[in-house]
Amino acid sequence: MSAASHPPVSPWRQALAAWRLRHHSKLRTMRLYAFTFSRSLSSMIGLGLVLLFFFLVLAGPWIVPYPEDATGSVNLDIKLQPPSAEHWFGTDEVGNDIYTRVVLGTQVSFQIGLIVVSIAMILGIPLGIIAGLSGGWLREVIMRVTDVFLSVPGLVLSLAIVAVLGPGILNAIFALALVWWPGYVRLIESKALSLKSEPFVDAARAVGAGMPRIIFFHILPNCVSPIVVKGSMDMGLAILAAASLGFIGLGAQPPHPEWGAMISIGRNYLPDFWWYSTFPGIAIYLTVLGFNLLGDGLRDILDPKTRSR
Amino acid sequence: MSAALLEVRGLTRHFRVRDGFRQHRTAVAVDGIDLALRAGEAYGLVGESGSGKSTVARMILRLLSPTAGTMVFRGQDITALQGEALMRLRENIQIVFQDPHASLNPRKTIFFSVAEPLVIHRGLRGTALQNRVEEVLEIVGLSGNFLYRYPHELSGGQKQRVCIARAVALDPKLLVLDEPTSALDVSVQAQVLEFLRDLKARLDLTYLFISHDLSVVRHLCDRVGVMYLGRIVEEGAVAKVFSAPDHPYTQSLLSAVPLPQAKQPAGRIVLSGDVPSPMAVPSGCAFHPRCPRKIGAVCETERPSLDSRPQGRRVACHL
Repeated sequence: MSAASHPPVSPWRQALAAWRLRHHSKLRTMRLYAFTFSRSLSSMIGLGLVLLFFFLVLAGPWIVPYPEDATGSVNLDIKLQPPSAEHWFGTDEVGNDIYTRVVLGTQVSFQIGLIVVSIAMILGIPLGIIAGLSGGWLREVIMRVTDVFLSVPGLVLSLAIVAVLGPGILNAIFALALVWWPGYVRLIESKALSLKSEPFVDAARAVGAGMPRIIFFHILPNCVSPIVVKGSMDMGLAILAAASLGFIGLGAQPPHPEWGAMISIGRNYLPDFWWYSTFPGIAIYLTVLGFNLLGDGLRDILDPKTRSR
Repeated sequence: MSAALLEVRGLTRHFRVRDGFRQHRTAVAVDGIDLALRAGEAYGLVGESGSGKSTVARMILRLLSPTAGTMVFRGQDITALQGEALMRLRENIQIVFQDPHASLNPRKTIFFSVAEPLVIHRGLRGTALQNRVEEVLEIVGLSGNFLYRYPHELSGGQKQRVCIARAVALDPKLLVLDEPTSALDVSVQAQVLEFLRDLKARLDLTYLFISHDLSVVRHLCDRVGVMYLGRIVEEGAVAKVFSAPDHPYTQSLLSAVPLPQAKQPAGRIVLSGDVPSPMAVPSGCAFHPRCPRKIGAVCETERPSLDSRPQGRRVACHL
């Protein structure tokens, strides 16, 4: 092992080797997760659907044939044409290409889903941690308010909120976020409550760890799995809820390419012009299915104990 | 006889237990115990489940505040320490819990768990931290291979060694061992016990060893205190207490220890009934409803004090 017989090892290689040593266990766990996940057909279908729709979100504007059709152009001479080589999903009542609008609608739906779920997490996780760790009157206040929100069906409550604020995509997002956070409070509160009395938290307190350290190093890392699982499921549900609001005319407004609103208008042209409502409907169906299958698959690998629930 | 490292006086802990709708009752987990640990000794605290042993440990660690009583560690009253002074105390008193698996954060590496006290108290990082963690792991007999493993990849004995490493990383004076071997296989138990005995000499530690296993206490400890329903009923040198127990409860406990021979000797004292609920501790001597040697009304009315007897023993009994 003399330096002369071997070329000098580059510092990059050394750093990589050290990193791999330190993360060996983690990498192995990840590989096991990937293997378990890939053995489940439904999980892979879910992942495939979600990846497909994410691709449409990112590449949408460059792959659609008629980008201007999403912003309210009018071509009455080709209105309500059935699916064809030029218009794969047909055209709507003002001659816009439905394929273009469905693909660009992905962006709208994913934006709504991401924003709603993010706000719900940003509100719900800290409140859940506070409620779970504090106990006493603070916990009672947070949990009773949460119960009030949970006792009313989310969609009904958000419907009422949008009805008060007025229809529109921003109001729909606001209303959905407002009814979505209590689920996270419930989830995190119960998790934090059970983690609080774990011996490893006691051990951390015994070595002098303060509250911030206990929350960020001991409680939160152990809450990640249920958060990821619920987040994935909720993406699908939030997209469905947003489409529902759009369908009854309280969400995104035409000519905004939103799936729910498209189905709503297309409904007037059923059954003769079936393609108008069908393709946005399939899009909703596949996204929600994809996120649900993905969430189920993630639960199977991250949180197998709660599978039967 | 060296001075007391830790002196506990009248330590009491009540728990409020919800009993039905809006009704609270008080459970007496620890009922005014006095305890003095001498520097360098191993003190065994034995008793059945629910006798308050672990509650004592949690109060000494300041994880739970006492309802009444004082604790003095190296001449300093630690009952209500806060802030910086509490942090200094935490460097000196550490604990190893019963269940090694649950005592390690499942999402963090062994390195993280052992490094945590060093990061918090010594502010170590980088190479210095790595060296110290490896050093501590070596003390408990684990190689550097374990640094970046997760708890679920280790065996029970290895995990318990990691917990011990975390506890001794700051060079504490007092180590509280809360049933450290009862979650382990018997073969591993013996290993860990031998190792604990060796560790105590090497690091100049004092042990408060909590256990329900009398043979383990006999093997490891110098003195023993027997708890029943939150009170210490008998205390003394292990050899003395085990060869000639004075308190009827200790006598019945010792008679229940199985011996390594086929035919168990006669004379086992079988107690009738169960341990009374800590929510309804019997009057007088807490042991009187089950005591085979009850002498009369005095046992039911008057609580016996923990009186000194010859040879440094203390017994709480009217006999």
